Amino acid sequence: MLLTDEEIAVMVQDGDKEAFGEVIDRFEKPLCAFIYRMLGDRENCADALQETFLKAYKNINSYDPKRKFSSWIYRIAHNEAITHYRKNTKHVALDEVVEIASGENNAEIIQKKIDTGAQKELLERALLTIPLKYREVIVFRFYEDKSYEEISEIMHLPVNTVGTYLSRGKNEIKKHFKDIHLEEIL
Amino acid sequence: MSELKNKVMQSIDKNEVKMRPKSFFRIMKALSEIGIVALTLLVIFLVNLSFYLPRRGLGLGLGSNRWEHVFSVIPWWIVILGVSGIGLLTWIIYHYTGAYKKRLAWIIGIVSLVIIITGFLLSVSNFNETLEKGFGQMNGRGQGNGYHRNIR
Repeated sequence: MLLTDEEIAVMVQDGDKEAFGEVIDRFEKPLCAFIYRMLGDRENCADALQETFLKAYKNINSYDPKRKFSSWIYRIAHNEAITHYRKNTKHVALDEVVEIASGENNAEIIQKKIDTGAQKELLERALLTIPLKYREVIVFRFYEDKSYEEISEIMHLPVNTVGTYLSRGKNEIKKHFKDIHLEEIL
Repeated sequence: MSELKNKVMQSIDKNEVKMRPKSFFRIMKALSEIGIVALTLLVIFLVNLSFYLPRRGLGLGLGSNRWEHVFSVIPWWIVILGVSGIGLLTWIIYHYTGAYKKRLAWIIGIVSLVIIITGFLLSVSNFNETLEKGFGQMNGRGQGNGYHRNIR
């Protein structure tokens, strides 16, 4: 029978180092995707991910097994992503989007991207242009499929604020596409 | 095994990263709780002084320039410390006690209200007089510790 994340975390707390390998197996991909969408930079993403797992191991005894383990480890990843974001002021992907948006043939370029099935990429780049707090809520809700309560627990925000950030984030993204009639993507 | 998993597991196996014991987190939790209680008491005491000291001062000089006098007897540095203390306390409670589930405005309102009401009630009780007498006796003068000396 497959053990739950919480049961594996308890095994690690009880001193089973190998069980932590299972934690990495389960969370490496989702956390990597989350941090990448937050930072938009692979190099920083790898560092932040490694730090996340090391901190998770170091502080595993602060985890309360009555709570959801994924929320606990995502909270660490959230803190790491913010730390790396603040350290790295260079946001290449953001500049690229601004360049596209301000270009003479922006509509044409974007239409081409849509035609070639690149909406997802376009959206992810637009995501990098909005403030981090809104971006994070959107990533959690639409990419990680987290509930408002989980997002609230990870980001330490009231549930109502999560809803507000989500709505503002969507509006910020829409603003980028307003002039080129791409609201339907959203 | 992924490269990342390899690196992390190696760090763990070589004891480069050690798991903090449960006792560490229990002690940290206890210390933070003690810190919050101590800070709360300190801020209540400062708020109490902010009410008490001007009242003491007001009895000494009433006249045509009453408002100027009222303004001059307010212990501004205590008021500033008290307000800063309320801010710090709110920040700690909001970030470290799970109070983030409530709106920040609510937390600020409730903490400020509780502190101000408690400080005010303390100022109208005989707490300050008792404290002054206690300090006076300790100094052998019986005239208080003189912390309202500047208003005479």
